[in-house]
Amino acid sequence: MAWTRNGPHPLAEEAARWLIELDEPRPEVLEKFAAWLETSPRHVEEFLLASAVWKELDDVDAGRRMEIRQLVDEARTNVHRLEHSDTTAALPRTPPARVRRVRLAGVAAAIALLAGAALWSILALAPEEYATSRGEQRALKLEDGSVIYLNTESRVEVRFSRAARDIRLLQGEAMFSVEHDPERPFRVMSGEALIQALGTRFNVYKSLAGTTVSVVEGLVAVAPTAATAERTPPPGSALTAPGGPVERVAAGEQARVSRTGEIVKHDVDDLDQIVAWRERRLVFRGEPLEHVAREFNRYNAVQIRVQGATVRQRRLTATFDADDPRSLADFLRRDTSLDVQDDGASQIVIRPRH
Amino acid sequence: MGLPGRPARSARAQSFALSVFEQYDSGLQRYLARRLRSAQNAQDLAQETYLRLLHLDRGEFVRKPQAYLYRIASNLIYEFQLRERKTPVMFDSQALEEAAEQGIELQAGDEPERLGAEQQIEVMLAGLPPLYRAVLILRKRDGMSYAEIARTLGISVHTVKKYLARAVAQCRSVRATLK
Repeated sequence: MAWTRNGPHPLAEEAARWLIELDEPRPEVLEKFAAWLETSPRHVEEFLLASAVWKELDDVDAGRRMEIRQLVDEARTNVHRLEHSDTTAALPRTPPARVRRVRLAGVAAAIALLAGAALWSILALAPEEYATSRGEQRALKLEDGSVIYLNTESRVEVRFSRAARDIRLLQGEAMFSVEHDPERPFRVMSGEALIQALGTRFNVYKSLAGTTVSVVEGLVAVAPTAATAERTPPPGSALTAPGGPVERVAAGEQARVSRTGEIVKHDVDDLDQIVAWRERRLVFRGEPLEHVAREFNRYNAVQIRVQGATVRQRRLTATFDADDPRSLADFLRRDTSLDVQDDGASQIVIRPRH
Repeated sequence: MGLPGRPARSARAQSFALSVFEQYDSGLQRYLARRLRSAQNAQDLAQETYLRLLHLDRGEFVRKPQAYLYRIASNLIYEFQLRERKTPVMFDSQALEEAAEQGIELQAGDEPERLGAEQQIEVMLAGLPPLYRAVLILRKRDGMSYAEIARTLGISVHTVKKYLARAVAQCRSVRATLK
């Protein structure tokens, strides 16, 4: 699927926001922009790329064939509740258009709209489930504008009501880009962890050992749910976990919630590493080979097996294409102490050479 | 930041508006637009630009971050191209453009014909929601300010900026896939 690779990267969106800000600049943003650029070469790269596109768009509709009125009408007749497919086709919400429709169409339409709203709120109570198969990634645009990026072999359940936006991560990994809405908290439940977003972007990875929450932007609150046996808190209730601590996790931080509900918080060395999966990159910084193999195996039919305790614990720092497990094999072949066997079909075995 | 062979740009007092990009180097834009597909080159450029930004006098950089960024990137592209050709090039803008073209061709090999600029824009726009397109057209074609666009469409300035930013981000993603 083309869009999984090409949907906007979070940094591309950030760079674009700066670009638009600087196109009608206010002096006070310059310093912040300079600081943002200084944070990472990735920021520089994305800003340059956004600039190039912005410049190219100078010639937009040079032939003057597009009618603004027509585009607005098109937007009005196209309001979807939930985008099941890709974010690139995501529609903005258009509250002014809705309001105007009521005014124009009169009482009958207003009643129809109310009926629709009632139906909508009933529908909203039914949870919807979305899943990806091995190697697949998917972006879900929710009706509030928030986006869930689902990584390989992952499953989420989405339940929106008037009082809360509840997501349950049943399996795998997902990144959440949350639209701020103080009226309706955005909550993610993942096994032993209950995560409440405070308008932000964060990644949740549910593994056998527990749940890891990494915050890319903004702030989230994390609490264990072990005590409450993963029960969904009543809508509208504040984030509470009887007897459990609530940890606030800020951008650049990570919280690991173990199966027993303990929370350990620490800094993330490299945020790029956390968000790399959206570009189907696997980034390792001194991780044991065992872990590297497991990550590859999440994406591919070809399975990598590592044999021998010392080889399994061998640490590796490298970046790979998630879809190309053979690149790992090639990389390891350079190490003469290892024996790398590729059966050419479904299995790659790495073991010590005797 | 004087680089050998490159005439110093006058430090005109300038706004950070639209014109800043052209002011530095039209070669930069073309280079980047093509290299969108070549992630490695874009990354190398960004890495080098970043390192040079860090060595700038912060006060000056803060006053004109965008202009500095473009200037450094332009200078670097010029250096890259010198390196790629391995023969000295006398500086003039025409020669620079040609160097850019040749550099690209060497990299890209015998690829099928690329889309024209106009078609490229059309492909990028096609994936955008109608309101994003409307905002973009009002800005780029009709030259409206954010406040004017907001008034025209009956949305807030904040929303105008949000739609524009998303439009750019999406176009950039689509652009990266174009041949």
